[in-house]
Amino acid sequence: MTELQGGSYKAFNTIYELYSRRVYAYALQAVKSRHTAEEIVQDVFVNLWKYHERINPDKKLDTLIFTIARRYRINAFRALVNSPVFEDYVEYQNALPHEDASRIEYDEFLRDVHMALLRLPESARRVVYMSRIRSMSNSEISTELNISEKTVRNLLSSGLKLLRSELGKLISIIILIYIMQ
Amino acid sequence: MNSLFRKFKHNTLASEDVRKLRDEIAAMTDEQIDELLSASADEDIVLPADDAALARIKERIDVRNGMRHRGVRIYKAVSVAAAVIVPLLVIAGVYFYSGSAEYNRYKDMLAKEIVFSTRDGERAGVCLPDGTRVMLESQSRLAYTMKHFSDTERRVSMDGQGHFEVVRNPANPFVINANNLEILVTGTVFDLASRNDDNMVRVYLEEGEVHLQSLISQSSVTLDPHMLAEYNGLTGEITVREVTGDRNNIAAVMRGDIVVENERLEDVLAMLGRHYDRKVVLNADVYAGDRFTGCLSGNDMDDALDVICKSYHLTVKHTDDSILLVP
Repeated sequence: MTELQGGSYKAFNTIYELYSRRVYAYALQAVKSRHTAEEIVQDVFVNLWKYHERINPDKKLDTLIFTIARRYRINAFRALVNSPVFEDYVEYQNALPHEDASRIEYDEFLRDVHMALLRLPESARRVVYMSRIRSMSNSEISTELNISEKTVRNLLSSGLKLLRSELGKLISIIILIYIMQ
Repeated sequence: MNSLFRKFKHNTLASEDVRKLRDEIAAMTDEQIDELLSASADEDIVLPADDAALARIKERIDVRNGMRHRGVRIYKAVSVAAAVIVPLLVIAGVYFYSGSAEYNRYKDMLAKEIVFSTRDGERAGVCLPDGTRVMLESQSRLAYTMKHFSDTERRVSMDGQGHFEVVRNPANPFVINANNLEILVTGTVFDLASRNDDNMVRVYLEEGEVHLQSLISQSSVTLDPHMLAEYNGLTGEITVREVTGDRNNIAAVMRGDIVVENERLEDVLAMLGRHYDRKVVLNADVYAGDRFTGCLSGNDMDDALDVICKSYHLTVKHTDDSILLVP
C-alpha cells in the first residue's frame, strides 16, 4: 500500500495481479457483457492509479478497491437495465424456441445486432443505433440528425423490421416474431 | 424482487418483467442495489476471466496510465506467407482424421492467434486468408484468429499503422479492432493508424465505405472517401474532417502531425496551443504576421516548438502558465 501511494508502478502491477480477477468477477455479478466487465476492471485500476497519491496507506487495500469498483458496477447495472437494447434481448430470447441450445448470451446478441446493423441502409442504421443502443429518445434523435420526428419514427419502424430479418438470417432461425416498441 | 432479479441473472425474464424490473431498480438506493448484487454471488453461473483477457485489460490500463507499451516480436515477409499457408494446410489435414484428439487440436488451432508484426524501420506486405492485402508500416502489429476469420466474419486487431486493401464481400464484413474502436468495412482502400501510446486512431478513406463504431462511447460515423476520422481512445469520441493533398500530406496527418500551409505565425501558435492545451505566446510582434508553411509534430510539443524557433531564431521560455517565444 505504502509503495503504491509513493508512486511505485511495480506495486501497482502486483496489486493488479492480486485483485483483477476478483474485480472482474465482482463486475460480472451485475453486467451481462464481458466487454462491460472488462471496462469496469479497467476503470477501477486506472482510477486507483490516477489518485494513488491520495491513498491512506493505513487503510485496507481491499476496501479501497471495492469501494471504487462499487460505484462503477452500480452505474453499469443501472445503465444495462434501462437500455432499450436489453429489452430487445429479452424479447429476442422469448421468441426463440425454448430449448437450452438456442439460448444466446447477451454479448453474442450485441455482436449479432452490430453485424446485422451493418446491412441496413445508412439512414435507418443511424436511427436504430441511436434509439436502441444509445438509448436516445425520438426527439433527441430528430435534433441530432436534423430530421423531423415523423421521419425518425418511420426510419425506426422500417429499420427495426429490417434488423429483425437480418438477425434472423445471421442466426439461421426461420421465423422471428417479436415486437419492439 | 429477488425472484425478478434471479430471472434477470438467468436470462429468463418475460417481456413484461422488464418494465417491473426497471421500476424496482429505479426505486432502490445504491446501497440496496449493491446488496442485491452481492447477495446473489453464490448462484452465479461463473464466466471465468482467463489470463489472456486479464493481460489484455492490463495492457489497456497501462496505456491509459501513460505507461508505454511496444510489441517486440519480429517477422519477415517470408514467414508471413508461411504463417498463412500452415493454418490452411492443417485444416485440410483434419478432414482425413476422425477422433476427438484431432478435433481438439483443431479447435485449439482455431483459437490460436496469428500475428504479423514489424519493428522499427521495417515495413511488411501481408496477405490475409481472404485475399485482403495490408501494408504494415514500422512498429506495427496485425493479428487474427482462425476462429474469427471465416465465412461469416473477418476480424483482426491492429496496433500501429497500415494501408489496407480489403477484398469486397458484403456478406462477410471485415472488422478491425484498434484501441476499442471497431472499424467495419465491406471492401475498400484506406489507411489506418492506431498507436497505443498516443491513444488516437486515425482512419483515412481512399475509396469504398467504412463505418466506425466506438466501443466506449457508442459514437459512430460512416466515412466518405477523402475524409479522415480521428478517434480519441480515452473519450471514445470521433471527429471527421476532409484531407486534401498528396500522399505526403496524408502520411503526415496519419502520423498525427499538424500540416500548416501559408498561415500567419500567430495563428500557427494559437493552433499549437489548442492542440497541446497550453498557452503559447509570441514575444516578437515583428514575426506575428509572417506566413509559415511546414509540418509540425502533433505528438511532441518540444519538437514542434523547436521547428518554429529554428525558423525564426527564437528561444523557448517556460513560465508557470504559458510558454513564451522570445528573440
